[in-house]
Parts: sequence; structure tokens; C-alpha cells
Amino acid sequence: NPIYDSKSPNASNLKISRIDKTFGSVLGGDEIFLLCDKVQKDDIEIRFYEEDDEACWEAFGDFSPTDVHKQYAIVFKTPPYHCTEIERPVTVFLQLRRKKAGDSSDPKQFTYIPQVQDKEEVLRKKQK
Amino acid sequence: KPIYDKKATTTSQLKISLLNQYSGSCHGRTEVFMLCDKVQKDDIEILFRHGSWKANGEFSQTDVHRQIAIVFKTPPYQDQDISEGVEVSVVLRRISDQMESEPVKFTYLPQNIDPYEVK
Repeated sequence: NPIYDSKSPNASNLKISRIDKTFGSVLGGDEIFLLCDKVQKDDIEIRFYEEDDEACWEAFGDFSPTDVHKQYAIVFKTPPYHCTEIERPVTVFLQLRRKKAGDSSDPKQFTYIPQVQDKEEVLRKKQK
Repeated sequence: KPIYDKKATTTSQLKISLLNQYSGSCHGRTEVFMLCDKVQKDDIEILFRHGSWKANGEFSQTDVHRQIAIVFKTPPYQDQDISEGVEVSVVLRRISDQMESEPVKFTYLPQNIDPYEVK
């Protein structure tokens, strides 16, 4: 078994402790506060993904190194879901992943909520 | 002039960097994520103030994340019958020496008296 320096942020396990929102718009752009174990601001990404039988989807949370607070928190914006025309909420996963080593944290669930239809659209559908 | 160890959380300067939201119901109980400079989980409080009114944000030591973030619930505002937003100050305060951070503003909002928007 390899021996890791548990104090080095390169070798320690990634972990998401808490996130302030577990749902957001299918269009993305929602700001999320994520509390985590030690990360390096230039070697970390937030991966949203979905795994089903047919296809895999992934997209990444939007943040810059300055959005990583003291190595233990990240403020980022959610990516849009691959299909913005969903009719029901869709639950996907998000995880922390180190860019270089490729290792990742356990996932947390995140739910994309359909867009609120504008009134004209609703009226148009009612008239049908 | 005293010389402080800037790295010691018993004497270091307190600083609020960011809140995930800056407004909430006058009933309180809004969950807020605060990012801050290093604090000691057993020697810190979050104080809401407006004029002579003050109340504490509610959290336990396990809500202090790695000394740099606190997840807390807002206290109810003194007046539950406000008709428009009320801006109050929020500071971090070290209990042992009563040192305070610079304040940030938080706005208490009236409760929605017409939740189903009948009017």
C-alpha cells in the first residue's frame, strides 16, 4: 500500500462537507457555496455528471482560483444542464476532482429545476 | 504598541469575507454560509445589531468549518411587523477579548402577508 503524506493537499482525500444549495435552474448560473477538505486553488475542478445506460454527460462548475477561500471553501456557478427543455426536475451528481491526479471526492446530488414558462407560452399552449 | 501574532486565532484580526445571502425574513431562521478569516470554533460569535437591538446568529461548534467558514441561522428581528426592509449590521466577535470584525450589512425583509398573491 502506498503511504500518503496526509498533510499534503496533493495526497489527502477530497471531501465535500456541505453545499448551500442542492437544486438550481436547468439554465445553470446559480451561485453555490461549497465547504470541503483541503484543496489547491489551481488544481481542483467541480464536475457535474450523469451516468445512465445510453450516454454520459459531464460539465464543470465555473470559478477562478480567487473563488477558492483559504483552501477549504469554493464559490462557483453551476453549469447548464445539457438539455434545457426538461419537463421534470433532473437529479445529477457533482464531485470535486483534482485536475492532475484525476482523483475525486464522493459525489453529492444536485437537482436541475425546469425553466418557468413565460406567460405567453402558457397561453399559447392553453389555446391549443 | 503591542505586537500581535497574526497567525494566532486568539489575537488575529477578524474578517468577514463573504455571505451567501445578504437578506432574509424578519422571522429569522434563514441559513447563511459565511466565509471568514481564521476563527476558533469555541471562541466566536456572530452578532446582529440595529440601534439598541442585538441578537446572535445561531450555530454550534460543528457548524464552524476548518476555522474559515460558519453556517448559522439568522436570529429573528425585534419587530415582526416591518412593512419594508430593515438594514442591520452583522459582525464576528471573539468572545474572549470582545474584538470585532468590520460589519457587513444584512437586510431583514417583511413577511409575505399575501403569499398567494391574491391582490
